Amino acid sequence: MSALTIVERDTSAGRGAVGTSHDRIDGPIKLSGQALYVGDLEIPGMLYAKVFRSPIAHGRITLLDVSAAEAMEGVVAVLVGSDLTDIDPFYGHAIRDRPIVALDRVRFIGEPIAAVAAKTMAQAEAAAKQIVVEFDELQVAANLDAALAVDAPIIHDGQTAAGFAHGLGKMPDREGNICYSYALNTGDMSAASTLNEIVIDHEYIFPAVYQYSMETHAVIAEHTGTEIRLWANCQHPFLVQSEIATLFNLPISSVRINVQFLGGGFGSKSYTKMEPLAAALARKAKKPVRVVNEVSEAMVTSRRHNMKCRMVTTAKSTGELVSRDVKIWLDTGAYADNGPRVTATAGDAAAGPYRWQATQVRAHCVYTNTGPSGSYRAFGATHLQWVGESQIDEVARCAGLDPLEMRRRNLLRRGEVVRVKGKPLDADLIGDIEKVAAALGWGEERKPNRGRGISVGLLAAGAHPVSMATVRMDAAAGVSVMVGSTEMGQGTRTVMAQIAAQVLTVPMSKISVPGTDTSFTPYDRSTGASRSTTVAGKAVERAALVVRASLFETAGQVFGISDISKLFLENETVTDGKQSMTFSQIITKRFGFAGGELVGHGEVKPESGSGSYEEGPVFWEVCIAGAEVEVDRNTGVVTIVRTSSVADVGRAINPAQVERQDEGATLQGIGNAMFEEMLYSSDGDLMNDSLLEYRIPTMLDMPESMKCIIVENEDGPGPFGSKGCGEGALAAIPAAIVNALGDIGIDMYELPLTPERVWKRIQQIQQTK
Amino acid sequence: MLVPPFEMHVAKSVEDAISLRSKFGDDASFYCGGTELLLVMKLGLTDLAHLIDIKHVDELRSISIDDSGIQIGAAVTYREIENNPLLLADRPEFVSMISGIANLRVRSVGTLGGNLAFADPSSDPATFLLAVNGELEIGSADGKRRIVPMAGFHTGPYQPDMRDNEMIVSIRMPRNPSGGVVVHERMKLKERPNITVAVYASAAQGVVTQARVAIGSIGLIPVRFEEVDESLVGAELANLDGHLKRAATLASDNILVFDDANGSVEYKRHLVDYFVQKVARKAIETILENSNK
Repeated sequence: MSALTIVERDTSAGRGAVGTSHDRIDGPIKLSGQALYVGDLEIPGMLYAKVFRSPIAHGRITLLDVSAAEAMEGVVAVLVGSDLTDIDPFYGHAIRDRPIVALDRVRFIGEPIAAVAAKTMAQAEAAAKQIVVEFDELQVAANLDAALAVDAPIIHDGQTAAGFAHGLGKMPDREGNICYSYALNTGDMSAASTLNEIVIDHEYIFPAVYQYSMETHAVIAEHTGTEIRLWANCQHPFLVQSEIATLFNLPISSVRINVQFLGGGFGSKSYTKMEPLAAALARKAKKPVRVVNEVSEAMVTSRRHNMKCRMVTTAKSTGELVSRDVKIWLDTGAYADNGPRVTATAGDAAAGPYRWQATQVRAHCVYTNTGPSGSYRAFGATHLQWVGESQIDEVARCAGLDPLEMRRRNLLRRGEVVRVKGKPLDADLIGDIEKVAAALGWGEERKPNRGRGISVGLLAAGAHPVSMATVRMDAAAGVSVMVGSTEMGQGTRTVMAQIAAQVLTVPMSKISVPGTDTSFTPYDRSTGASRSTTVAGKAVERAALVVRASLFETAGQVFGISDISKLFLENETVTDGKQSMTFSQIITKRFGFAGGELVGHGEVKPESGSGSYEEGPVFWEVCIAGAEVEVDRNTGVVTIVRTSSVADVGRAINPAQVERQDEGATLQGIGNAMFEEMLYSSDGDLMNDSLLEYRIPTMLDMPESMKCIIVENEDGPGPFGSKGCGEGALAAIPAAIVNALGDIGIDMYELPLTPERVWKRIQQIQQTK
Repeated sequence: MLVPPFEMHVAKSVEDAISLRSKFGDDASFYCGGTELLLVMKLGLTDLAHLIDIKHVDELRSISIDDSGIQIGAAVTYREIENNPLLLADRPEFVSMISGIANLRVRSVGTLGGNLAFADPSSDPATFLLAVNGELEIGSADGKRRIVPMAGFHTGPYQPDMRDNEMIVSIRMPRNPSGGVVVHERMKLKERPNITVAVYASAAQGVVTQARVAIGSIGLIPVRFEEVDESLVGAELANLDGHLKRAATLASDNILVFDDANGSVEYKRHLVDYFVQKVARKAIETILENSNK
């Protein structure tokens, strides 16, 4: 392998796979119903699990009696906390604060207390009803205000332990219910305050939101004593593998995870969710066990953080920005999950991509007695962009500036510092926002009760840049791409195939991209943070280049050419312009018969430093969108008339998929801005845990027009100059909608923009006039 | 959660269905479209050992229109109503209201009789039928049939006024009387409507002679208020605004609503005020324009 010469040179002269809107390679198998999801799988001897969950939000368990359940027909095992005394039962990639099942205390309604494994689902459900539990109830803090109050109950006492993928420096000491804090300071706030001529100061509320992927969390686990096998729908199989290995004291390689297709993720399946419980139950039952969440259970397994924010933006009377002071409180629920990372990303997004004299950001991650909050598409940025951007528009109105002109004057330029020590700005934001405004008809006259808004922001993308890939070419020149990116509907398998097809000049029909099996698929950190095309895709490109180098090596020997830089690929052949050989002929020549294969391995690792969050991100994902809205002042109903968004992707490997990503993100952004809100009672009960009461956007909520503009400046760190997409529009759309309402005099400080909230605000504004 | 096991009995006639119901008592329920019942069973809110399938009872499946009025069998699906050309010709506003219910999948199996028997507080059909003086034909165990008005049939949420072992056989409403107008409108923010208002009006010589304002999907049951209806009588184009304002104020003052996830009392009263004015205006302006022709 080391003798191979890898030539990094332009490969775009190939078949043009990159840049074409190739059909989804997983389309036919999904459309014909043949694609298998975890819930479809039957493992021989498999049992069915029912999780027994806490009916109260906070209390000490004084009695747990599962004897009646154990005696029920078909029941093989009932898992309880006392089964876990031989292991350290706490998990959590950021903070190890969560037991596999409740040990002596419950912290939210829906927390697993026990789990029944039985021969049928009906038997498991019947047995779970026989479990008896009694509590000493404790004071409940079901929201941020209650958890931050002076007399708040302390939800976690004891020592704070960092998780294996904490990645955010030293863990701070816990302060009340605050489990993590993130701070940023630039410039001199007191010096800047002498320049203030315009001061905008409000408090904002962002709701708890559910990711609502079609498929809920599902896992089948088997524990043989020396090995654990999982068939799971996790987004990050390798991080789950590592966490399960630690929990059950096994080598990482003794935990084998198989991930095929996910019916959507949006962050709900990032990091470890139901896998530890399934593995522990399988360990006790000594049989494979399947755990599938119902929607109401999935909603208390993961959600988006609700947030309270106080922001002060100051500027000179000319509209030149001076300072921004931000305080953020994010409700992470009863366990930290990905809360610390969400908090840091929110902190990073708070200042917005503007030139400031001084900024001060304090972001806090707070425990409450509600279901845990974790990742959700465009986390942090979605929370903050509407807050920051609505203040930019308020400044513009005070200064008498058009919002677009306001941004032209204040936005950062390429190469300027976004965050001290981090990557400088790697995009043309002003060029992008001009395009979004133009697509919205920015200068055109508005109809009555219609407003237009634009918004711009950045999202720290890429996560930790570690990915590997293997590309194998068989003797008939078929190619398989082994890469750990999870196919969850975003089209990653198609993109990976296109990258390999481009490098190797092989038709897409000859490329397969199987699902992940950690026994065979090389390591990929995670599928999220818009990183797959950029980071894992780069590993695929590099692996394909190794295969190409092997083809050159053998062809060079056959052609009698020592300078292989004279060779190139064309339609599954190697040629020097005069003589050529097909890939099959080369492989047959290399191995002496029509067999063997060429295997290439590619790797992406931090180019310098450790790849830590502080040094990152891999790239800044551009979050830019515009919206035109119409308000019915009689009812408060807001209709989204049209939207535009920019997908600043460096190079679009598959333009149609880029557009679909932006459209999906736009619709999800409309959901976050307009409808979605998990409602908790003061005693911690989630009151709208079904589609009857939890409103998500439907096709009927689609704007008349959704325009996605693809910007290709070939300035990304990914293959062919690409960089990721798919989250930016989600962060940008709520901000654009809020600004469009501000445009017609209805400033909003709380999401979602329910008709009642908008109507009440209109009444309030009329009364103060 | 799984639907618990149950036994299914296929009824051949109304009498057969009722006798099965008498036999199993509270352990049984009639089953037709299942769009509400199966949901309730899946949520574990009810535990029924027997379901009596009435989908194949011919009498419950017919639609007839004659001089005596319109009669729709209780097991007729929304989709069948939508696709019935005679109903469309006679009661286009009724068909249009039905077309707005839920979605195509629900309308393909859900039935008008099921909707009224379930008595969900958010029922478009119940509100509409209240405005047009609809009636229900109820069958009972003794083989007798009785006709009851829609008004008063829903006594509370999920509480239809039926005795044990009774069932809705058909739904009746007058044919569109010459000169009368019905306008139906609703606002839907979630899966079910947040307010439904249906207004019937008739007029003579440019003056409203009769009005019926039904308000549903916002309180516990669809309601009509006599004083609201009366306040619109005598309205003409010249003094319409005053009549509408009075009707709306009376309606929003009288309506019984509660704070919940669908809105505050303040907002709900505002919606009643706004939609009563809006829908009544549309109905009255249409009828007055017609009567002036």
